[in-house]
Amino acid sequence: MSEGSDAPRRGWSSKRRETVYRELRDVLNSQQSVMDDIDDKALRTVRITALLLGVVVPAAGLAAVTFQPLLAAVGVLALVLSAIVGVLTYGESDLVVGPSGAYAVSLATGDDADWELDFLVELASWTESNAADIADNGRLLFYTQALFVVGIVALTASVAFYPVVTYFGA
Amino acid sequence: MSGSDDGQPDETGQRSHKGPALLSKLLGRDGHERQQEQRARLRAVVDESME
Repeated sequence: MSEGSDAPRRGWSSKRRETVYRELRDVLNSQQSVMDDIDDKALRTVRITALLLGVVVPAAGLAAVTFQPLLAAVGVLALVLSAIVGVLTYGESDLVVGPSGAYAVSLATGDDADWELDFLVELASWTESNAADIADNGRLLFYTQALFVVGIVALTASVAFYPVVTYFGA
Repeated sequence: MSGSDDGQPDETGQRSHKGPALLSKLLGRDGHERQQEQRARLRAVVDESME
């Protein structure tokens, strides 16, 4: 079989379709990895936030530190929101990973002459739909991390506020 | 072709279902509908190229 021919190869009616299938399958697999990475980052941020809220903030309350109330409230609120959005990010992950059982059976038992094209169209629609889901979850991850940074900065500022004011004699 | 006019199942893709997707439900943003839109768009492209 010469390279570039349209002759059947490994079950596909043409090399072109086989190549498209392989490319789309690779995209689907990569999308799963990307989404796993987003979920992992979101959950790591949630864990650190929970640690900060559950341990560091109460401990800081026992120490001889005076928080600037408004900044402290903003900081705690931002951290709580970060944790909530982080959990939502994980919960929103709903990528298509392959054919459903019903569709696989319908493909295997159907009498559609051009089932390959049908399958490729479905595969392409899954990758397009997944891409939109990943964009949405990427946005949620950004909000999770941005709120986390705002929370940390606000809490730090709330601790530093009175010493700084005293130092500069305002 | 949801449901379907050519004998295909309504949901052709298997989803990972990691969580309840509360936000999507709240915002009325359904992944299944989104995939069907993409499928319809791609079908139209295929049909156009066949003509």
